[in-house]
Amino acid sequence: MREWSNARLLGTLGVLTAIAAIFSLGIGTLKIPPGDIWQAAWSSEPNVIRTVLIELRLPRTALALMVGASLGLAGAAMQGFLRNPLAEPGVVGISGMAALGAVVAFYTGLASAWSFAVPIGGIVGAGIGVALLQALAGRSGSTLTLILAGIALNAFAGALTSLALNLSPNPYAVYEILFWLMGSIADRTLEHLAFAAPLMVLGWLLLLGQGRALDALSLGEDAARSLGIDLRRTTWSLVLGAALAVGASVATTGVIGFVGLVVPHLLRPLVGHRPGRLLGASALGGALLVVLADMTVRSLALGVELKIGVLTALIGAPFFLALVLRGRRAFA
Amino acid sequence: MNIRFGWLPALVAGLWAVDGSAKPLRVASLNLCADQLVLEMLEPVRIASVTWLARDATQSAMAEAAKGVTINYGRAEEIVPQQADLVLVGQFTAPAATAMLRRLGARIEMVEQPRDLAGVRREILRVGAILGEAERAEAIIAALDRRLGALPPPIEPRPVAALLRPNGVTAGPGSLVDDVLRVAGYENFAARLGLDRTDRLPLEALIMGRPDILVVDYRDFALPSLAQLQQRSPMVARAVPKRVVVPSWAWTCSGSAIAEAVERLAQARI
Amino acid sequence: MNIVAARGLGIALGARIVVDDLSLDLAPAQVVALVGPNGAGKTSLLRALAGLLARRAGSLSILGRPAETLAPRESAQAIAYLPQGGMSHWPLEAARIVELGRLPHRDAFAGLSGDDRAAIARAVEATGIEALLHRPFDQLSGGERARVLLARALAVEAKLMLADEPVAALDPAHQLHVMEILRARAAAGSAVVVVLHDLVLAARFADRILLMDRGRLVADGPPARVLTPEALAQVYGVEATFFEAEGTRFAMPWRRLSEASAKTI
Repeated sequence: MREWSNARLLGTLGVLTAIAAIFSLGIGTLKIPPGDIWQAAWSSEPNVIRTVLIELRLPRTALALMVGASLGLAGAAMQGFLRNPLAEPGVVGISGMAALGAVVAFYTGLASAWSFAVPIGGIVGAGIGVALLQALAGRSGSTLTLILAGIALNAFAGALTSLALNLSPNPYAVYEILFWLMGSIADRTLEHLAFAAPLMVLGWLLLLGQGRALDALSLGEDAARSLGIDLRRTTWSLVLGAALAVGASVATTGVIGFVGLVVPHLLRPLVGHRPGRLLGASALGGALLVVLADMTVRSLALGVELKIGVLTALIGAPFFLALVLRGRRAFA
Repeated sequence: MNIRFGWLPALVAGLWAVDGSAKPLRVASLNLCADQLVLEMLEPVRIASVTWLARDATQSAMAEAAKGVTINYGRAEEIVPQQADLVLVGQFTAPAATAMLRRLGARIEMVEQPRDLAGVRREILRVGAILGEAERAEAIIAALDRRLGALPPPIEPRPVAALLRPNGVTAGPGSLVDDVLRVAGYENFAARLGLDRTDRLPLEALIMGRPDILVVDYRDFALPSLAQLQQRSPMVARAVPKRVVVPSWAWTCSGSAIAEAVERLAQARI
Repeated sequence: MNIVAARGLGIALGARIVVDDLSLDLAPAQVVALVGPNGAGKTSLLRALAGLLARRAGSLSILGRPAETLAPRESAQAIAYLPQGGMSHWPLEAARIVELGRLPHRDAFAGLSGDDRAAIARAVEATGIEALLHRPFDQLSGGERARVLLARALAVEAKLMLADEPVAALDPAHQLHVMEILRARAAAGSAVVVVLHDLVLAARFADRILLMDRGRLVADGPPARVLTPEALAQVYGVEATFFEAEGTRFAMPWRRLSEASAKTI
């Protein structure tokens, strides 16, 4: 597959994402004709359709875009940093740890004292996860170690999350594990968006700035350092950036898995396998994927709305399996 | 059945020598709604046990009364030694415990979930008869009717009320809540939307439909859950500024407590 | 001015001292071969010169300035490092790999400048990889990969080029080609330090040999003066055979010396 130029790739992804976002605003539990939506959006007086758009549909679409971008970007960044195409926040346990952090922050009531508590909880959880992952699997670079570390982190995080939910005196808590493990963007409000968005954007800035370092790392750590890359700073930027992006996302929507695996993998040939170029493309690709998945989930008439993580897992898990099988010889 | 244990049911049945038509001396309840009726109609000495839920003030109208009575956790082995003449269960009460008690020869009667106020009255009378407290039951109903009679009369057009429970659940036509809303002088928002007896209330519908008042029966736990986020969300408060809180204990079950629900709703209309 | 001046260098890996009290000067336009048995400290010395490994003792100056005072960018422009067992983790196009060599010269989000393109072109020409430029790295042969990675290092156009076993696992033609390219680089003005195991190759292409043994520099000079039978016996524990070619005498390791045998040379 030939490499696409930046303009062509980012332009195409951008346009597709914008179109998807517009259609996404048109989907909801109520059937509102597009003409009415258009009119209401631009009308000067407040009206209920606009309220629906702004209070419900806009946060949902915006979160889908931002969470998708965060997951795609974090996946691409982690793969570049760990030099491993199987690295992805969900697979390696970062998302699970973020969910744990968010669950602890939410169910202990911290959110009532401080609105940022839950996203920050997610970020702290994700940060601890990345640090543990680096400690367990950073140096060796072997796929086997990475996946094993991911299994360990996921098991640990999942168990503690379950425990936290069971220990909550609120009787609804124990039934809510499905939200955290499978993810959902349903009923997310402007408040959710307001508290998560700035943190996600901060994460994006940190990650997007590491393009050169990731390119240089293709040649190995020593060569990268000799080319002037400050590996310590790169490590910190990536740890913090991934923690912010993934942590704030998972805290708001639960774990939506495999986005950071599928999107970079599909786009990698189009950027000539260059980790630096893959960052921006994966952000847009992730946004597109999650918006499309969310639109699908809303359009399926299945009674209770399907959790979006179920859909991404249905796509992503076979994908992951195919990657593993195909690269069996290459992965030590 | 295993022959070795064949003697046990016979022994226990002997212990239980029950005459189905006589007034039961001691009654055990394995169901919260049955608890309410039992606590309201019987003196403590005649109550073998009620469930532990009866002591929860947010769910049980008779929580104070339940403190003076033995509680059970819904297990057959707790009931057997209590030697109750009658065990009241609900439709979904632990089937294993119910089956076990039935096998041991206990007299089991089922308490039903009413779908409207008429059903509430019927159930109070029926259970009253089973408990041998028919006059008591009639007194309760008389008091209930007095309170309902004292309400301000409904005004047309009726205000629209939307019930919002945790996880966005509402109550449509054919439910007790629906009937209570009607008696209190409202129109049920869920009926306007064509929803079922228990259905989710889409937030978009809430914003677009703009009911006049939001009815919330949330139990105020110290610590949060996702299920209750909607009820507490600023967005819902913006969409429907007026709200009334009806505690769960008022209308989950039959009993005179239902009057509380109707009264609060009717007051909120003014 | 010397490109490198090191005095009393001491390097430790954990508790183990791998380089001890080493001093050397490197002048421009020289090819210096760094030889010695496995574990003598050659890679550690190279990495320390590249600024990748901290010193625990001694001083090091690059281009006349103490190494610590160089900014990361200055250091990266002055020193090109070609690690052992060269790899690219991703199957990048060869051209992209060579471009990475210009990172020390490029500003934060800038593209390739005219100077960058010229330097890349020179590196491509020197290594003869024009035909490979649009081939992905993983489809290249061992020799081709070595040349592509070497081109990356050449593109830096650094005054000091450090190559760690660049010819390991290459066939004779490619070994000779790589060494010729390094010689040409030195002729253009850089100091080139190459870690080699092949003593014949070292003697053929290097102006100067640094012989290391157990962390110390035991000999430093022209090949004939360093690769003596005594030195080879003591440092490597081998007996060499000598041959003449094109007017120069070369030492070639021939037989291992065992402790028991008291062979006279």
